Amino acid sequence: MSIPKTRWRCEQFHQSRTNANNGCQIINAQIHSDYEESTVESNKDNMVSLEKKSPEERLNICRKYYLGGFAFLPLLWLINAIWFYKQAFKVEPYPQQAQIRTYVIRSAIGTLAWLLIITIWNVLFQVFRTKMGPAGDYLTFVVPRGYY
Amino acid sequence: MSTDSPLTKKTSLSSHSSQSPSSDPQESQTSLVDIDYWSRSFLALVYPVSFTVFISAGLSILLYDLYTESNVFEDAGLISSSKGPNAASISKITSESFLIALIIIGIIALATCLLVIFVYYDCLKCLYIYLFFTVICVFSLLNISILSMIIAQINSSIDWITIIFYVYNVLTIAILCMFWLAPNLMKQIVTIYQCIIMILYVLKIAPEWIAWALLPLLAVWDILAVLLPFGPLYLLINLFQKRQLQVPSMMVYTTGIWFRNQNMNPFDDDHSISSQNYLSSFNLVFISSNVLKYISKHTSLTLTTMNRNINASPDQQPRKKRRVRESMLGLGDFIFYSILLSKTVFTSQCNLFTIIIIYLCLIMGILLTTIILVILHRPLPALPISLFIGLIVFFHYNHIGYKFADRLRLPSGPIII
Repeated sequence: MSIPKTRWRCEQFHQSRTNANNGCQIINAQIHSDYEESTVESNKDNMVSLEKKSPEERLNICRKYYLGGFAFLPLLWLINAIWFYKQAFKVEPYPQQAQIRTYVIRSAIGTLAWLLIITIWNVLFQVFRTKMGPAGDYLTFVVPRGYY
Repeated sequence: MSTDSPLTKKTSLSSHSSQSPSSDPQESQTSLVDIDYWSRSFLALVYPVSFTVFISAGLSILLYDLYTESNVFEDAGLISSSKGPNAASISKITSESFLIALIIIGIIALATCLLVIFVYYDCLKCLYIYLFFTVICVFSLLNISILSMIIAQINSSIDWITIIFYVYNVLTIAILCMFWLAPNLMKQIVTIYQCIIMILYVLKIAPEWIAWALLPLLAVWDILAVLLPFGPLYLLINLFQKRQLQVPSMMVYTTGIWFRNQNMNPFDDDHSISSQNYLSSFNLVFISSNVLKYISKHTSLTLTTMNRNINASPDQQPRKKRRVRESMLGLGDFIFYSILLSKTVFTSQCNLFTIIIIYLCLIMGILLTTIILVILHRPLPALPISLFIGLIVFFHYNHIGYKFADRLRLPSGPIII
């Protein structure tokens, strides 16, 4: 329990010059090392930034999102297209960029195709719901209140 | 806002303070730095809270018809009703609802203790499994139950196939955001979505009296859990402080989400560790245990240490640009602020003045908590001040204050002031 306190109260050491150099250096080293390790950890986990990753990792992420989208997941394709758009078209070329570009373009096309499918299905369902017989009622999520 | 100038000003101020021999300019310099820093971090807290609160208030206004006309929002027969032939007295109803709220808080406390035990014994697997299970339940089952309310209100006939498709997509994105890599914007959106689901679900299961009884008891629980030395949240925070290594990775997996404020992204470049991180709540399966709400102060310390390191080793240049601003607000706080506001929507019959006043009380509570945090430098519970101010003001305004406001705005007689 003492360690957190000293970490929080380190500023009080600044008040005297002698203590500042002696006391804080030890704590500094510890905090710095902890900070470093925590930054390494947190860079990996918290702040996801594509610039910090190697190009192979970027290609890997792009490919995983692309392949995942084939499992009826157009949202993954949408996120893939938007997230890697800058990487694919706006950044200086690097060897994996061509492959990322194909993935982004195909993801965008896939998103549009799924959007079309969903829209057409919904329109058809809304129009033909009452004419489908019992199947229409089974498929409806919440049967709407009638006003007539 | 420019990203570089306040930072360079801050580093120059701090380096000044580290070089001047006397203590008084140092004190004033650090206090200058502090006020600028803290006002910025307060604003960074206010934006996501306001956003979530507005969305939930809007949804409550949307669902208000459902509240008055159908039995979706009834108290499920848990407490005696105040209407009808067997109407119970008000004192009996309040005592029953306080009992039920106590039971709910007992469950929350149990979940918190369980999590403290998990963290204490380094049982990462248990936490991962628990969180995975929770995320799946929240984003599938509770999502469907929320969607049914909203779709019933807007009276549209959407089919099951679309719903399952949508829920499947959102669930996959949520799991990817939490357990793997996803863009930061998606993480924030998923966090807010999870908050909204929780809020509407808590409103559904604890609609009328129970929610009003739950809020002050939660504020009391918050005080007890964070400030007392044997409180589970205090222990949790200390464990996370001690094992500094585990904090980031575990926070992502156990509490689920680091909420990153969108407005902070222009400030921080890519090297920033955790610009605005919000520990999400530990989600009990069906009741959101808000558990971790603390606003702690990490960063004036790390700023000064960073400047020392800069003086010491010039190869630390890339980390110099980091603005570490770790003012963390738990996700449960979002949820209970929004529940307060949604309950005011329901109970005051969509009175806009009440909503605005309670929103301002919430912001005032956050401000007061930040001020106390500046003074005290320790983890603080974020709920109680806002909730107490909000509750007192609401009950006063709803029963007494509105007459004054109405008298002010309605046209009066021949007397013109």
